[in-house]
Amino acid sequence: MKMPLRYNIINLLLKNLEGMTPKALHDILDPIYIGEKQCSIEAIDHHLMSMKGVGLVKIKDAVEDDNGNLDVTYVMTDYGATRAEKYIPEYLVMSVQV
Amino acid sequence: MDVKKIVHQKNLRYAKKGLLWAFAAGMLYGVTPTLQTLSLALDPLKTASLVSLLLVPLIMACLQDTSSGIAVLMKNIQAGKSKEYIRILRSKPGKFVVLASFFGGPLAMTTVMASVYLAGPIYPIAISACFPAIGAVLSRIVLKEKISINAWIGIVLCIIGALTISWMPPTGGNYPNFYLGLLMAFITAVAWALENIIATLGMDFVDPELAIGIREFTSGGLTFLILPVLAGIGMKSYGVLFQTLPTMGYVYIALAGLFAGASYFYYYKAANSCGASRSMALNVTYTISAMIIGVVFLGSDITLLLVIGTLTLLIGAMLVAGKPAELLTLRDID
Repeated sequence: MKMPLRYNIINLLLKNLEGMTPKALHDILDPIYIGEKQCSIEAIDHHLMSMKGVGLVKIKDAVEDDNGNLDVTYVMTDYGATRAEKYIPEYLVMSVQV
Repeated sequence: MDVKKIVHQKNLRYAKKGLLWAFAAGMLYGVTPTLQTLSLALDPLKTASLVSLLLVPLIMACLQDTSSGIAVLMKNIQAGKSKEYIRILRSKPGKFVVLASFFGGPLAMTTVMASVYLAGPIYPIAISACFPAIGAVLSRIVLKEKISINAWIGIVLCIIGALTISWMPPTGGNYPNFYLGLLMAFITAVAWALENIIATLGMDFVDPELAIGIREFTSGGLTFLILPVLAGIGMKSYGVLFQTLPTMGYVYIALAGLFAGASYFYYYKAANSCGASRSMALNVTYTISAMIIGVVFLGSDITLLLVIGTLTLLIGAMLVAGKPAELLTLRDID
């Protein structure tokens, strides 16, 4: 069974310490959650905003693309990594696709 | 415009949304007491209320939470999230949401009814309405939430306002187990606070829109299971529950479930986005909408206490809301 979408986002952020944008996360996650409307760039950004509020992730960088859209790079915080290891450790050792 | 400014505005918009969700949760929940009152005036619930103390409240809780659960499921199916229910339930954060449902659902429902039976309505309602204060203390300890002095004052004012609005003259009844009733009321307040704190803990990892979907089904299901035991009439209680389904009484309960479902939907989202302590304090604004609807639809009087209570609550709510910029980082984690 696939893991919940948010756990996969956390997993990817933990593996990519330089940070990821919602678009980069979507590019990897979309083929995994194929056909699931929940896996959109907007929804992924909403997950990241929600996790930012409680301190699990933070904004590393933000740039405006050619179309004037905001492209924000999020990274996992130490607090977020510690909590993920505490509450969802079994999901962190899995490969992203599972 | 400067990119930093755009990011700041985006964060600020999200924080403001959190506060709006908390207000919306309170206002929507205030609709449910009127609908519950309408259903109680109809059979079979009207007659069943004479059978045992807990039978009707548990039936109503079971039907209302299950109806809410169905409404939230529809919304989640539409958003393409239905498969996440099982995925989340298998994980530890999902189990936190289930535990939160137990505290806020069957446990709080049973203790609040028992407290009113054992000690009359006045003191138990006053004690249980203090749950935002207990919740604020717990959120500080467990979640390390930042709570400013103004917010603390606001939380106290919200509670005073809610108490003033709900205050009724003492009935002068004789309650031999009065202190046991007060204990039950205190357990209710702790249970409501624990529901929010544990659910917020789980929602660090669980999408709040899914958490509330799981909460409503779990609460409805658990209440269904304990119904024969706590109602005191065994399996006959299921008979009353199923007799209620094809009646107008159930239509009112289902409508109450829709409003309660929408309210909890925003309550959980608010707990995650503007903090557990703020969401609980702003949630008691339901007493305002409940009173307004009571005045409009049930002909309740507008009393001086109602006006004073509403103003106090609104001032408290403004202090709790504070500056949205303070909500950009909710916890002391550095």
